[in-house]
Amino acid sequence: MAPRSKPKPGEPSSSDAATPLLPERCIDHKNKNIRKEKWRELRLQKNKEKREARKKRQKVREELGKDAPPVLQPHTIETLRIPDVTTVQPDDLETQQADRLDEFGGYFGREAAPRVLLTAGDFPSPKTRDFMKELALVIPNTEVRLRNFSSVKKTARVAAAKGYTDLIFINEDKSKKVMANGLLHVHLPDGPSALYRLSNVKLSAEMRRIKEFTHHRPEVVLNNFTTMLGHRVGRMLASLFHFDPEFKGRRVMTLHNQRDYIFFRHHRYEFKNEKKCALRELGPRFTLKLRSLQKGTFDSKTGEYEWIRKRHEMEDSRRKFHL
Amino acid sequence: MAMKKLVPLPRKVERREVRREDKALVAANIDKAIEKELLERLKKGTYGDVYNFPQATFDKVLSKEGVESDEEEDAEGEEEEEEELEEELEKEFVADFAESDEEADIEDYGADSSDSDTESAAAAAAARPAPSRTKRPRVEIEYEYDGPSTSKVKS
Repeated sequence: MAPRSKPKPGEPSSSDAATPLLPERCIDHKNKNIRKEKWRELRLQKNKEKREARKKRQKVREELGKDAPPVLQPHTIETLRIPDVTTVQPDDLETQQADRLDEFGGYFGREAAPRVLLTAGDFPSPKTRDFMKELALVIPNTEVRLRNFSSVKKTARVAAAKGYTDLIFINEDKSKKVMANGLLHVHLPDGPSALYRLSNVKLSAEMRRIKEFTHHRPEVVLNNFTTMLGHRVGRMLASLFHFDPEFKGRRVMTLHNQRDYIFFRHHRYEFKNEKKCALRELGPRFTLKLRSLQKGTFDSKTGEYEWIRKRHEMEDSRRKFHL
Repeated sequence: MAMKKLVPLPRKVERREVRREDKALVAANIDKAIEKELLERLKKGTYGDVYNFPQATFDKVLSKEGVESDEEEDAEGEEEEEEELEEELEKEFVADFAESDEEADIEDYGADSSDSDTESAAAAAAARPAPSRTKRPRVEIEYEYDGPSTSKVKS
């Protein structure tokens, strides 16, 4: 039997919603042998009940055929996720209004085309440099520059003055051989700054397939950004790409959020027919995990944080996700 | 020079995050999700008329290649299929353009009709060798004429 986390007292148990707190606490006995026996009996009884319920359900399904109630779905982390209060409903007028007024309203209203400046730490390692080159190919309208020891704030100011809309920093951890492990995305001017943990970077050179980078503007797919925070982050990442995709190029960038990890993928797609679509992966792939979101440009001392990942508060439950 | 702040990363947390990321990746089923999203967009019509899949052309394509060889090709000759499909689509595109031209300029009717004819003929000619190209299993005997023969010729 796979181990399932026992429900804490007070938390709703993960079994059917109807049953009250399980009587497991009543079985604790000081004598270990007796305790063992009692637990064993309880387990056998539970299994028996399960089996009988299953037989009943199968019988009902056979009898009713098509009218039978749908098959019960197994529990997954996604189904057991603690529902977030700030989940965005698709037709929410309030969010739509807020979207028009926030920093990305301009982008989504097609006012300005994004121009991205990509830079790294002081002496980026060759792997990081390769990664930056690839990112520059993948995100349209990107330039790679070396950071001449200037601070983040200064770079942001200069970039904003020169007309860039976004600034991306790639942070490296040189003590270990692992390359880039952090990504800071600053939306200019005065836009929010998002600090991500970067991992699992795979360059297109390591992909088995032939590279087919075209210069068509890609499509963007954002998956699973459900909460308010997720929605905001999703829009922020989407604003990196040009708003008018060229469907002829058949390129798609995917930012897929799963359990607070944002997976970035770059594919070429082709519709074989109305029901099937073939994908071929190109380009780099990496994973982002949001660490913090700041209101203005990056400022570690006086900045106003919209959201920080506070491990001890936010990650006490394995069923709770924020994006 | 700006002072760089070193932020420590506890080892346990690192390990936990890596493990969770792997599990999240498995749970995500990214390729399927992307496919689903793209198909939805196709249905909604965000692509407009770029892709037209009238059942007739689809059946024609199937009958030319044969469904089995299509599946075989999926693994190896994806590029070939792509090219072929592209040609197919291009052929439709070209045909559409030609038709619209015909309707628009009545004066140049003679010139346009001849143009469209040559275009469609060229496209058809281009499409015709394509299906024979994919029928790989059949052995083709090619006779090449080499100037100075360097290799032994087996009769």
